[in-house]
Amino acid sequence: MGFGFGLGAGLKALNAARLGIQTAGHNVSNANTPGFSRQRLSLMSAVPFSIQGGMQLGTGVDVGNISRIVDDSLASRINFQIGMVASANFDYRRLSEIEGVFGEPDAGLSEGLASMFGSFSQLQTDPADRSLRGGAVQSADMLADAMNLISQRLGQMESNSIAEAQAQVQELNDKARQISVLNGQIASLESNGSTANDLRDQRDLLAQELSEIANVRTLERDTGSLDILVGGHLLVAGDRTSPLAVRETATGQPEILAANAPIDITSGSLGALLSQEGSNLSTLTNRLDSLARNLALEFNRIHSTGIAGSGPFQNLTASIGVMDTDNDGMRGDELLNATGLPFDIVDGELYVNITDRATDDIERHRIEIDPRSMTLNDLAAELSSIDNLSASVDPTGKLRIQAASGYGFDFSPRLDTRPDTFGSFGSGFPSLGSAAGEPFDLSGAAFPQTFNVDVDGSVETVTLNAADFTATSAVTTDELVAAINDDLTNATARNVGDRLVIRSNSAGSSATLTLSNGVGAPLTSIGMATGPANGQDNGGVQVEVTGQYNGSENGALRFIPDRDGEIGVTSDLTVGVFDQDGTRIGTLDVGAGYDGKELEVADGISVSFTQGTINASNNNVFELETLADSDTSDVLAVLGVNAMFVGDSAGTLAVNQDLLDNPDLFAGATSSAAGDGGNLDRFMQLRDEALASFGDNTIENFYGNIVTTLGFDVSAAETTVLAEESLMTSLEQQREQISGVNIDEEMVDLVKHQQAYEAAARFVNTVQELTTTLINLGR
Amino acid sequence: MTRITQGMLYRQSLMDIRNNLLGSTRLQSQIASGIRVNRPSDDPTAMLRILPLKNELRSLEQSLDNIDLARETLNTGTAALEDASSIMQRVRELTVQGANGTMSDSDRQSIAQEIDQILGQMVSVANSARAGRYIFGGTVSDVPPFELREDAGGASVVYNGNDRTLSVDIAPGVDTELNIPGDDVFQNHSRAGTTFRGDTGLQSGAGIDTGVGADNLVVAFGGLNVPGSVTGIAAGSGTTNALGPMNYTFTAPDQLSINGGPNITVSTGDNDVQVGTDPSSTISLNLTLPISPTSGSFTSTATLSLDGGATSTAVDFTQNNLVVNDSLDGSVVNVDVSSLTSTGTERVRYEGTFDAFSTLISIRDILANDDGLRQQEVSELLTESLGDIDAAHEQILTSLRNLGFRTENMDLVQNRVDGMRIGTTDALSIERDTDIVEAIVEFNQRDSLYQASLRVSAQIVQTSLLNFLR
Repeated sequence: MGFGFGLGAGLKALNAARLGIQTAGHNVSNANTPGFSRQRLSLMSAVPFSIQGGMQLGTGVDVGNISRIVDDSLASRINFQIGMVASANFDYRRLSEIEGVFGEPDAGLSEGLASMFGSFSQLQTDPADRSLRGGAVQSADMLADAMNLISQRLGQMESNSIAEAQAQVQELNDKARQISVLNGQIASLESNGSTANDLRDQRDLLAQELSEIANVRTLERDTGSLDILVGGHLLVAGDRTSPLAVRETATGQPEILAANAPIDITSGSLGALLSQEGSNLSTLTNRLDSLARNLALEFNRIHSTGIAGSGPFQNLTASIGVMDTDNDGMRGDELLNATGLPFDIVDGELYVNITDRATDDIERHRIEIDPRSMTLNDLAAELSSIDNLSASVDPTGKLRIQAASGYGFDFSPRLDTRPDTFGSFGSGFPSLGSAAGEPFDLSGAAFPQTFNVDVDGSVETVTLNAADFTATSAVTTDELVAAINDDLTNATARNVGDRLVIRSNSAGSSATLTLSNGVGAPLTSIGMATGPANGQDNGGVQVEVTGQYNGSENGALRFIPDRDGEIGVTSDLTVGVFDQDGTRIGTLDVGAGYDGKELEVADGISVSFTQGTINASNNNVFELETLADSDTSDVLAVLGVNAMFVGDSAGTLAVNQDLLDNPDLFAGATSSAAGDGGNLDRFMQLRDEALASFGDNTIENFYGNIVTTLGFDVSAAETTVLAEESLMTSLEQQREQISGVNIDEEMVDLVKHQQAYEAAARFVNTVQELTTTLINLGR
Repeated sequence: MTRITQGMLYRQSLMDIRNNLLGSTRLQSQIASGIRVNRPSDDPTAMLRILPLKNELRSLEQSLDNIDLARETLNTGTAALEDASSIMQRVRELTVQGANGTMSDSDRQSIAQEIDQILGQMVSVANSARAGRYIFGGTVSDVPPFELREDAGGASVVYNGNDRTLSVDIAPGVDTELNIPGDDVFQNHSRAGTTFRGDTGLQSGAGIDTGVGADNLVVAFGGLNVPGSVTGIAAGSGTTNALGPMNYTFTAPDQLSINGGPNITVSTGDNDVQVGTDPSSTISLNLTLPISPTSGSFTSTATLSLDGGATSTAVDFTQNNLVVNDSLDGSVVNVDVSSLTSTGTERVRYEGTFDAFSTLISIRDILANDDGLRQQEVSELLTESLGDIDAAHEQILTSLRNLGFRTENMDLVQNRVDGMRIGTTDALSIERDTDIVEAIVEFNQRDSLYQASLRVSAQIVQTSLLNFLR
């Protein structure tokens, strides 16, 4: 045994101490390096040397290796949590941004809605004021603009998300490539059995950053390389990567592709981006669109049945055209329920008023709307069949309506203040009517049947053919009217409250009208009075209606004299008032002593008569339609005839350009009086009404719910961020607890190794002194 | 044993400090801005109440705006009606003056002229407008609601408005009417029969009379209707004022008795024979003697005219509801002619229709006295008119009071809405605004916490073994 042996052990001790110092130094230097795991020098006593006597002599220290202190399961939990934090953060940021877009409670749609209703209310104070009316239209326009803006910005966020997804996938691919490079280096470095601690730390850090983007799983191979899986796809395998790509779906949302097949990303910022696309943003957009749609429909319902400040319309063009859904190159020939319109037309009725501008008299016409059997062309034909009105469908599928010169039209539910302009109730014209309403049974005699109409001595013959009627046993008044008017020039037939009335075209006390049966005695079948009936001078009885109908249903009142006599003169003369079912609902006393005053009828309506003779035996009658809703089919609102809003989504909602160009077209009235604000009252009622189309909410509450839900979402997202971050912190603390560098510890290690170094040096010195002693001994 | 590393300390300190700072910053901005809920997520539950409260506040503010506008309109109406009221006052003074028996015809003429001017003023008051829109036309605001029509037969005022009122929300669920339709103010619809003042024997007939105020119905001689079997009798050139069927008897060839009256000596060629049954009832005849047959009958016919002769209606002396038209305003009166005996002018009064206009027109016409009434009759008619003036005045005053009530009520509503606005603002403030005291207390708590955490962190972070190694 020689001294060289002792020196060798000393050298190893010096080396070990130096490595210990260096490791401590490395740890201290990297105390703040992200992802750094503290390293530890492991030492072991060297293999002992056998000497004589079976004794084992220690040979010093051997350096085992320098290893990282890491907990691999904790690392993977951290990776997962990083993804959760990233996705929570993304959700929160995105929702806050949306919340900002809505701008509530100070600068959002709630302000827009309130200021629109406010300007309507203000216009109520002076409906004829042009500037107030312009203000009402402008406020509606501002609301539409605000809605467009929100919709546009939400849309931008949606389209930005494609670019955002691309950027994130780019980053993900970059990091995957870096990992694959590190995989190669680590594998080659570690092939000799050592560990590439610092490269592994770098790689772990990259894996963490990947987790921030997407949900990745890591898998360490025996070779030391780390494989990365994303949604079942092997992103990194050893030193190779298989990058991801982004594609835009048909609905404009991003989709992540791996090897051309879509994969599912569930967490991380990319996962959050994708899931937000799938749920929240589109739900919100849908609710906003529904708000805009129903707002347009509800307002158009009211607006389309109102009258503009400039009075009844001369012409109107619908703002929405029907589609050529059967692709035959023509629009208007499709059934109304199959024309691609944004809203549904329902079974119902439409009332059209034709105003004679010279006299202000109105003629009201009723059109049955059945969208399953009616086309737009049919509707135009129905409108055109009304006197002084014409309608057509233009090439773009829009309905055009035009009144003859000197006339105007509107669709308001107003009362006809002079309901007997036709003159079947004791007017200047002689008239004869049927005793009861339709249906009439004409099947008792063979066709053709005839009767004679004698007007002031000149006779015309009316011929009724079986072909005139759908069913001869149940003939309708309208069928009879059409058939009779074909044959008459001196007299006119008319449907008055389902009864048939024939009226002479000449008036005055010398005018007479007599009917007489011809072949088949149809007058008897119809139950017509045959006369003779006489006209009256000075226009005869004038009927005038005042008040406003306050009932909630559409109906009609029929006025029929109970006996013959002169209004104001004959004692006990009364007029019966019947509803449309024929039930007597009142009796008006117009006999001797009646002085022309208004008589109250029902539901806010009063009627007054002037002096003149009314005739029960001639079946005098007049009808007064009482309307609560003059378009129960919504056909006007759907086609955008006299529309206030056009568009059917938050992005397309706009005020009808005609109104913006000429605010006088804003329909604030329900009569042609310049200062009428009847329609404004209806608009204001809309504000407080819980509407079925808004889920039994008021408009403002519906919107309020959208905002509040959003607020709850943002606030919940914020809470989620805090919770995920706090979990993250605790995981990181755990990691730090295991892998972090404690300066004190390292200092102690430093001192320890320093002292070990000093001791080892002393040992070497001792061995050296021993050697010197020995050499001097031999000298 | 748990390892604690410097990294943990740094991280923990940093997070604590950050959290504290975040809380403080939020509080600080709440205190500085005074608003706690700046966006829905700040407090979604409060937001549920904030939005409806804001809506309510906006509509209350709109109500207050509406009240201001409504008050302006009501004030315009009030001012107009006050004018109308003082006009009626003046008319009363003039009428009392005109009824004075010492007035000469020309004095009355000049009063009539003044009343005519006043009538014009009244029409323009009734056509008062605010911002170019007539306030007494119901909802017909673009045409003058009242139109004075005048020609030879008389005058009338036609209403072009309607009976609709304009109402406006002045508080949630409360609305007020801004206008009174002019026909309720200036016209009278409480028709109560028609009376005739005159000596012709005309009476009110059955049927609906539509005239307004007073009118003059002139009963004029319409010629003699002599049967063809009677020869020698024709109308004379003098005045005939006796009307109706006449029975004549010649007791001698030149002795004529009509309706059993005294004999009068007549002669041929005498073309103006006055035959009277009493001094004021005469028929002018042109006789060609001898008359054949010596006894028989003829009719002194009459025509009635309401419009100064523009249109006239023949009389058959039997009808009880003969309709006489006024071509001027289209009104009609039903008369009973069965007792008509003499020509003359009937003063027709449509009772219950005297209003601001018809009373003025009536008084003006009485004063102008185109029909040559006696002084005493004029005085009587004028005195009678004082009642009409008072009634019309009272009607205007009723409307004036009505407007006054509305204005007064609006003041009450305004106070209430103001109160509601303050209440809502308070409620909104409670939901939305920062409770400064609470926030400051909390801020101080957090701030001291922040300071403490800084201090402690500084201490901890500084300390390590290094500090003690030499």
